[in-house]
Amino acid sequence: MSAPFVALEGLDKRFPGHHAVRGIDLQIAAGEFVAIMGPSGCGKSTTLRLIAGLDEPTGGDIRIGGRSMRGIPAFQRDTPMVWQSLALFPFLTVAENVAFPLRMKKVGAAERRRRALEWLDRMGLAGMADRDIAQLSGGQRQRVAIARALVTQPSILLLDEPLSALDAHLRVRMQTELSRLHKQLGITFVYVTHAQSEAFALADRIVIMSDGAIQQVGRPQDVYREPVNAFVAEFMGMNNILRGTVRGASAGRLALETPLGSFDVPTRKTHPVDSKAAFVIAADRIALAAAGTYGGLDATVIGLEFVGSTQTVFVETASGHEFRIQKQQHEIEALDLAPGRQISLSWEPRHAWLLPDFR
Amino acid sequence: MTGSSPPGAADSPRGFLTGSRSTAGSPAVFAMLLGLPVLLWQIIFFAGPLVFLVVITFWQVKSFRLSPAFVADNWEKVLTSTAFLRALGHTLTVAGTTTVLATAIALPAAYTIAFRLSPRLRDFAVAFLVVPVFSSYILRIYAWQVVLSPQGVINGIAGLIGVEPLPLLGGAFSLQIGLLTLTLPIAVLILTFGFAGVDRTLIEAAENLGCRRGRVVAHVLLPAIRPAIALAATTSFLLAFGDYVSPLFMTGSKPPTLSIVVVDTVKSGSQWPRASVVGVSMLLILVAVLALGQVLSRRTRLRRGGR
Repeated sequence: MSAPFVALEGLDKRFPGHHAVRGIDLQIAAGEFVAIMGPSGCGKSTTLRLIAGLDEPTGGDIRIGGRSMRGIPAFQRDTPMVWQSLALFPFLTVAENVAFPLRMKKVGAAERRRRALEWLDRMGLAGMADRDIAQLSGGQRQRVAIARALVTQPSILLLDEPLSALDAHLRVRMQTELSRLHKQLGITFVYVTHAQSEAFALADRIVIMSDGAIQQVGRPQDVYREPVNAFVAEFMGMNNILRGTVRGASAGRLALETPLGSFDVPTRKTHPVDSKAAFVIAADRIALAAAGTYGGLDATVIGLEFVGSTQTVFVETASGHEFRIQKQQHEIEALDLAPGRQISLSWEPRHAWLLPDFR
Repeated sequence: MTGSSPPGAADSPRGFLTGSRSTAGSPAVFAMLLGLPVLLWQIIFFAGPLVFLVVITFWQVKSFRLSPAFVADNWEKVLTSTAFLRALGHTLTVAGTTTVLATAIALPAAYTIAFRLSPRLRDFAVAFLVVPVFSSYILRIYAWQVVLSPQGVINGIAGLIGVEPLPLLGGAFSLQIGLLTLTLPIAVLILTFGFAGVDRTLIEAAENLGCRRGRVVAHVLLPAIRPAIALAATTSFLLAFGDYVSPLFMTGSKPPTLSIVVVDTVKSGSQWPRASVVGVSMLLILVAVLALGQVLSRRTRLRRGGR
């Protein structure tokens, strides 16, 4: 990465009785779409608020375009934000809402109106300019909020769970819209969400946060396939973690003894024999076969969950270890899976991912 | 009534009783039953007397006795009398002044309570504002007399440092003190709730979009609580306009306000019809003020009528 557009340097925020952000470092390139993910209370929204200047950091610094933001109040930062609640001004019309930032910059009334209408047109809201906010649908309000944030042509847009108040259908449409806007404008988007689907669909890079610290930064597929630790693996949801003891190691692979048996796991670094380690096998990498298949792991189906084009199969081994497996509908039917049925699990050793950071 | 008929019943007459299937269990009837006591209460204690008041304005007084009639004489006499018109002008001026003062003083006070105090102090302040609303108004006015009278607290202190007794009681100043005693706590309460109801993210959004702290009040807070301001102002006006206690005790009825005129008219010659004319006129003005308040609270929408 060349000189980053946004740089968080040891950024730290303590609230009374709560350490929200623990000295994080992050660099975001100009024009990048970065999604910050994590469970609620992980510090992702606080990080966004710190970038916008809505909260004062208790340590570290934020640089935007090379300039330190220390002591620069929110209204001078030009870091517009789209709120989950949208925060539209109910006492202003649609066009006046969009023109608000221009009014703050003392742009003349005619020019303000012209630029607001231009943005409304661009967001598919032509003809809505003089309506009240209360007269718009949820999706239309969302567009007004985005237009209002972009009307001053900022070089960064902050989004705090902007789509979580929308219904599923609208959410997918707005995702497409945001993606299109990002490509057209070429500006930096920092997007906070707890929804994996949104982050994966939109972001160039994903930042996973937990307990005020960054756990992993990477492309969606990297974070998904190669989680650095058990937290990220579990947060991604469709991963099965097996913990064990290293019993033998050779070039590029090691043997891990787990309560379910010994498994061959590829590795990029050497692990001392007898040390603890864990690996992840993704839910969609597990093959199912009839019970008793040679080399397979026997288990009992305990539940099936319909998730659209795929189903999640929950199985349990005799020792009580649970696995989740993702399968296409036709595979489920071919195996005639139902709760109580015995099956055999297996995976290719190369699909096992050794967690690099395991304690 | 439509839509509730079963298929095939379309050609049967759909009247109030025949077409609909409103039974005691249906939501519409249930709501009506629940609303009935309130409706009766309103008819008996509000609409009834009001109608009677209007009817009386057309009656006559013959040898100190009311007698039913239908003459416009009372309206003519009252509305053309200089005494009434002068009192009307005076009352409007006094109530208008109170409205402006109450709103102007209450706004910064309410802002401070809603945004600058800790939650605990805020509750304390609100409790302090609620208590006077429920305490005796006359008692509070007597207290002011003690403070303001020529032998009162203020003049007592002024006398100690050699200042001549000030004519604090008996003028526009003391009248406004009395009326503000009545209106200010309520105006502050209404505006405090108005400010407290403003979504805090609106303030952050404004700052985020380039609004400096000092301009947030003008650009976000005041527009956001516009209905509360209109309500506080109309309430202050209504209270001050119809008040009898402060004009009587703080100025000794000189010059008289309309409520004093009502009492005087009844006392002198049992002129119930003319007093009713004054009363009904006052009610009409109040209705007009309420309507104005409604318009003001929603002015944005009217101004840009076009949809």
